[in-house]
Amino acid sequence: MESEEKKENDPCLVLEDLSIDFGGLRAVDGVNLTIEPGERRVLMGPNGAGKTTLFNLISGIYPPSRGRITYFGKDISKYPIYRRAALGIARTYQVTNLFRCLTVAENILMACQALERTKFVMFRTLSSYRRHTCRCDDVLKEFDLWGKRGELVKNLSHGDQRRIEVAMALAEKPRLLLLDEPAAGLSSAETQDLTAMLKRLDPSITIVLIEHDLDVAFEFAEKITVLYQGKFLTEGTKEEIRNNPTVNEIYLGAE
Amino acid sequence: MKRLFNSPTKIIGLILAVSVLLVMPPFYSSYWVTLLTQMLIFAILAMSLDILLGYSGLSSFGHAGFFGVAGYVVAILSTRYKMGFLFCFISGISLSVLISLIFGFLVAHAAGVYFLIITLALGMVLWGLAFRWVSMTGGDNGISGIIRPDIGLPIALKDPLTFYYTILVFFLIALVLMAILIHSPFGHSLKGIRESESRMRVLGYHSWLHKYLAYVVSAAFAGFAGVFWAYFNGFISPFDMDLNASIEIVLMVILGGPGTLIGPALGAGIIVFLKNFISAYTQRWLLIVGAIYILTILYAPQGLINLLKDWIRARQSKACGKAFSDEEAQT
Repeated sequence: MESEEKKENDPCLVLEDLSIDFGGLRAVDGVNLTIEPGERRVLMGPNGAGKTTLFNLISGIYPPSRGRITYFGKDISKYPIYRRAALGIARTYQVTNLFRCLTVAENILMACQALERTKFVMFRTLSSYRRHTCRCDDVLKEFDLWGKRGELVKNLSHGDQRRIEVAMALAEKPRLLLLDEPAAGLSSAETQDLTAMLKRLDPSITIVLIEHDLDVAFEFAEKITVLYQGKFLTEGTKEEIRNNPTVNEIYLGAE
Repeated sequence: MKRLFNSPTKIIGLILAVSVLLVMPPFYSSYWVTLLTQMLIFAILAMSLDILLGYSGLSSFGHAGFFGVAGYVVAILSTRYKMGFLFCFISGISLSVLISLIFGFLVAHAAGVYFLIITLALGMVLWGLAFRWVSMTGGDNGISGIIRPDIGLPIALKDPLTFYYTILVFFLIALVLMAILIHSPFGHSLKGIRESESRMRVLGYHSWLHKYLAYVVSAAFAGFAGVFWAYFNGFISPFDMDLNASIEIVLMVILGGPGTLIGPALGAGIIVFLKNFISAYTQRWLLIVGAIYILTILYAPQGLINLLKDWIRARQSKACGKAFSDEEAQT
């Protein structure tokens, strides 16, 4: 009972002194970060600030050179990628990374069965698993992809592909969602749709968003963290960040 | 099942296949029946490779190794130890699976060209064993005198036609099993690995394990084909599992259409036919193989079956477009 209570009080994600070196380059340098359950957090910073690398560290693509990643009170620094996914960490990519030669529905289904034991079943057809197909249909309708479910992903517009990126991550029912510039390359109308959709998401999901678009960032998040050259620079509310002279200097360009 | 009958082209194809494979064989000469048997065995082999090549995007250049291993098991057990069909069948496939379980640890980490090179090398190891382990395999003399089994049916398998129908049954079993496999959750995950392994990992798939299992399953079906090859041919030699043999299987898959099951089966049929047909005129079969390879890559990189599909789709959409513009003209 006690441990369960403790679990609920634990922050969703704690990064302690997290660093990674690529040869001589320290891409992420001693970052400390605490994110509470259900929090919406935006990561900002100029190119090369280490935002995507930080996501790669959290989702397990690189092992950290130093430091610790704690997820709901559990040290996951040494967990392989698939175990972190099984714990409910989902992410999207800055550069669209989908199953291009499969249909939209097949892409979503891939996510629906990803965390189930049934993914190893060889002698029963996938379409006979109602649980997965129903979940897939729900996600398709939720993200307005129902009409395009039978089309190959490679034939869809960039906007649709970006939506599938997010839909796939959410199809897994994650507890922590890492969104890497979901609006990259979208038109302003599409960006607005996407922002509206992100704001509608289940408030119990913790979301970390990398975003260059200041309007989206300020609209979405309660708290913003700014990284610069792999280091934690500052953290604060919209107003604090907007009025921070250092942030203005490095991020918006010094005049 | 529904999907089998949902287009006129598929129905025509099915009728054609049934008549050529099921109804007509009693009227063929025994040369054709034998050739058709050979085509079916290689069709199983090509489909088994397609699980790796077409569905998982892993090009294995050592696939003939598993085919040969099972063939040798049958040859050794049936000639030296006079074992019956069932025992040979199970042992042949088991040894192929066992070897793939070991090799899998070496290959499943690799992807792309590295996978190709490692599988090629391992295939050569198996070939080397067959070639050099003379006391067991008879070296390059091979093992002859494999007698077609008595499988407890009141039919004689020595007769080419009954043997053909037996192989047809086993071919259909393999086809159905593989068709279910590729439509299964596991088969679906293989397509994901082909398309984007990094995404699969992030989604929560242990992609190494899936590749490993795919390698083993594929080897099992290759062994399945190998068992029947030994019985069909009555003879097995290292040439059944050398690099040329492996490359021929890859060619069958690429020619027919990777990522489909019927494609590789068709490709196997064409290659087996050409090989028999052309070797009557020339010894330079490999030259022809090379030419087919180049022509396929240039003109049908998606394989014949996909070329056919595209052609039919283009015709249909043309017909639709025409109907549409006719309607428009009327209104």
